[in-house]
Amino acid sequence: MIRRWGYVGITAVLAVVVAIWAVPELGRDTVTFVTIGQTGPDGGPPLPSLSPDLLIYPGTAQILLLAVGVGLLVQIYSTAYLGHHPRYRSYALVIVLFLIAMIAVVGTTNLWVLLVGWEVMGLCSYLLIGHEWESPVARAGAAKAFLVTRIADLGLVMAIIVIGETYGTYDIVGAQVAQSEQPRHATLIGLLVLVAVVGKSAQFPLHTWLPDAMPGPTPITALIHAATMVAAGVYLAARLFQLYADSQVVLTAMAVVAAITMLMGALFAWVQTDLKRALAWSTVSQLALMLAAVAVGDPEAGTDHLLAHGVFKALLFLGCGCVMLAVGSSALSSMGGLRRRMPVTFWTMTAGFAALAGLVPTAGFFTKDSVLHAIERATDGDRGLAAGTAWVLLVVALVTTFVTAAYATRLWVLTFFGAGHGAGPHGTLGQDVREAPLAMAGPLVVLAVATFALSVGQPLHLGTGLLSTVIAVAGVAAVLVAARRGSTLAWAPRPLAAELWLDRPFSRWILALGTGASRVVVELDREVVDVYPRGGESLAATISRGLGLAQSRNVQRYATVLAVGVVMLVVIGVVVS
Amino acid sequence: MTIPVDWTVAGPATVVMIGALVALVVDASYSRRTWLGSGLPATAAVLAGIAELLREDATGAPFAFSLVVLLGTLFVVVASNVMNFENAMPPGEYHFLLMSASAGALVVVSARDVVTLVVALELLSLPSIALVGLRQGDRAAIRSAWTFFLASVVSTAITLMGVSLLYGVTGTLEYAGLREALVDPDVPGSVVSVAVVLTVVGLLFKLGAVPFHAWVPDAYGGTSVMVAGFLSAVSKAASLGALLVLLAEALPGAHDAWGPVVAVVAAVTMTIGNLGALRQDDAVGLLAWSSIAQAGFMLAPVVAVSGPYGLSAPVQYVAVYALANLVAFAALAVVLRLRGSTRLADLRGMARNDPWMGIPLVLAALTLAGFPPAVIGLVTKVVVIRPVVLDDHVWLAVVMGVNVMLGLAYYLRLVVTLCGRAEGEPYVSPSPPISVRFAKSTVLIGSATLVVLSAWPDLLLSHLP
Repeated sequence: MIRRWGYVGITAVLAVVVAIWAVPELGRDTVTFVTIGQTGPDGGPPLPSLSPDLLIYPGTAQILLLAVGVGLLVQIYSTAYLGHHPRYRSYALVIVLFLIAMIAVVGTTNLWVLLVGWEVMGLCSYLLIGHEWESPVARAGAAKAFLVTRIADLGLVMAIIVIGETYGTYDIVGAQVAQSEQPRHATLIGLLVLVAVVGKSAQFPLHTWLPDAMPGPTPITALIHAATMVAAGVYLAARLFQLYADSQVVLTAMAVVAAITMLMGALFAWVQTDLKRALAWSTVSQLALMLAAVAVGDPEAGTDHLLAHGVFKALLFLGCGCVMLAVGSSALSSMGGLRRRMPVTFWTMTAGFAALAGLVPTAGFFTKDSVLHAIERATDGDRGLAAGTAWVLLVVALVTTFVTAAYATRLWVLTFFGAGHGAGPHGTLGQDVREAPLAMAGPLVVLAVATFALSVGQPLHLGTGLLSTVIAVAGVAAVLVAARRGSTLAWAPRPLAAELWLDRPFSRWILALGTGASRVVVELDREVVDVYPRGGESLAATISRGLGLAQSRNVQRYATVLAVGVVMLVVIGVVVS
Repeated sequence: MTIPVDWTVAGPATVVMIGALVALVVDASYSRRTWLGSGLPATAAVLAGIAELLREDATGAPFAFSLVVLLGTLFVVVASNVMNFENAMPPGEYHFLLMSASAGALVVVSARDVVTLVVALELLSLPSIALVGLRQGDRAAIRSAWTFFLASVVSTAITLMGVSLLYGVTGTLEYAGLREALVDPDVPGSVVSVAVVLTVVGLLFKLGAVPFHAWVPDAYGGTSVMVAGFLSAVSKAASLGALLVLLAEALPGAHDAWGPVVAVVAAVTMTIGNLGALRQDDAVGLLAWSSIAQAGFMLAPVVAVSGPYGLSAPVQYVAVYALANLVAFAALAVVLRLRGSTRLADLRGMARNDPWMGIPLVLAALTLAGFPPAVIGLVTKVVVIRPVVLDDHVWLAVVMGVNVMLGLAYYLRLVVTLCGRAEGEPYVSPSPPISVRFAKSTVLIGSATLVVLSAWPDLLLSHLP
């Protein structure tokens, strides 16, 4: 027990250090530039050097606090949830490593440090998804997440190289300074950044890895696959926004990706029969909403929603973990009627679902309102995005709001109300279904409070606010009425239930292609490339054997070799000179 | 007629030669003929020689080579105690011949005219040949000595031809005189080329460079292990020093003649040596071929002898090479004494079941290969490649790089064999003699030096010229 709290202690120390550093920046307007060792941007030759410089401004500070805060809560939660696991130590240490990498990604101004942190996060994600590596599902999910996010990493590496070649520095601030003097290659940089974001934040068409990452431990899902790592993609888009803000191509592509992903994710979330997977699709959809904010030229709204979403989605996943621990499964069919048995989980998750649906007065409402307002402002067409695109985006966002409210209500109803589908043979819940222990319920309460507390001081945009509230309430009401009439809320058309077969390229075609291609590569390697080393080896062996034979202990032969050698050396000496 | 003697040069050699005579006389007059009876005077004489060398406060490449020669001889004399109780090996003659060869090595390095060089080379060669065949009743040893002798005679004859041609062209045999005469435009260029190449041949022979290498595996394999260590370390260091001084002091004007010859010989030597070592299944044979390859590495920077690193690079390389090689040979001598075999198959797992001898052997192999954690080996590999690159012999540097890889193939095979798991208990002599401890102590001191140098290479590099 002491041992387990030791890892919580490490995380707590990390959190306190970050808090001491970041909290004073929250209310500050100026930017703090922490230079360690070398000075800041000097416009020198672009060498891929790592610099320990850190830059922190209010948005960065908020995300840092979110990361270490959720990280600390997840560590506390894990002591109860996973504390008896034989590999708990590696689990807890990987979380700490992950947090350090996240701090590096968020805080640094050096693109190569960002890349290192980005890769370490991907590695931690891989390790933690595959934590239960006895299960083939977890192994497959981990491998898929790793491989798909590799595409994103490729985009990021290319983007970094192009930025370095274009602006002569690998420093984000330096590149922004150079860009403000003479913007160049905005479209190329923007599209490469978009590739990185699409992969890391699980956007269409690289979205399928996130739902498949769900076999990982639930606290990890809350930390990495809801609150922090997947959000880092959106953060990157916001951070580098200035470098590609001039390019309408990039913004339009980003808007299209966001529009497709947000509606698709919401619809997929509606049809799921598994609570955790539904929440995963919901994350995909919400990330698309943040990306939409970046696309319409308001990255601050995007990072604000990132923050609120990080809190309430971590709350929902941790609550999901409590429910899973109680009923032993994440399938919705095994839940129901948990309201009375698990009051803390019920009330905190209710707050989380309300925030997801965008209901007043949760933080989710206000930040979603900001995003919708930003999209609405972009419809006048002078913010880089064409008016028509912005209108389409707005409509899709409003439809998504309706679907989001509907699926949030559906999940809420199916989990906590009803007679309990997973009840025992006598129609009652088993006696072992009880409230989660304090170490798990405590973090839920903290996050629920934060869900409301974060709405303090948020701007309110009356028009979009009213509209989105009406739509969300309509969504909630529609589901509630249907549930009251005895519907099982199982409306799932076949294409949606199959997730539009979008996973098929990854699960079948690329696999088949890859198998063929890799076979060709192996053959090439064995038959063509290996000829040289093997030829060299056999040549060396042959000469070596010949030398062994020549070493005959026959003095006459030695003398002959000697004489011939002397003649040849004299010839070399005379001819060359 | 009085011959002026420069005692700063001749001092250490004279002391060592007197020691050799004392050792012989003590052994002859001391009826029991124990190993220590002649070994102690020899050790004392080498120590006195070192003191004499240091007292004279000399500097430069000859001093460094002399120091390597004397320290190497000391190492060999102490480690040779492992042959105590070996009745076929007469101790007095052994020490006398060893010390004579050592004196010859000292004179070779500090020679300042070609006649002294040739005489000293004979003083180095003839005792070495006798040492190879010294073990009584050993037909293989006598046969090796015979091979060595014939090859040596042929190469000396060739060198004398070259020397006479040089004298005929320039009228002098002093290094300083040759240096001035060779820049004279009246001297016929092609004759100088032939003369220079023929003169260098004798030294290349002592160095064991291809195509004068054939005696090396036979001599090393046929003689006792410590004599092979002496030939590979002391004799080689001396002939490299002599070659370096001759080329730098007497023949810089003929660089066009010997430059390509040395470069080609270096490249071919390291390649042939490494290829030959690949298929050896005996540790001594492996080290014999590898010392041919190492001679190539020592020769390579000689092409840039007039450059900024021309003299220091071979000195530093040969110092580390000699130490590592002596550690390896001394360890193998102990192994041969205790286990009766130096075949690789019998050495398997030695780093585990005999770490006091196995780990020094691993360390020596890694140093010779230039592979971390033996950093000093890597550093000296860089040291010899640097002048070659700076002097624009890129092709030679590429050949050296390839040969470093080739060398890794068999050195690491040795390391893997030593570190592997032994199959069954190895045979170990049930009653090891006390005198083995002398040899063991030299091995441990030598490997401790290698470890210290690996941690702090500057200790060596900044103190050698």
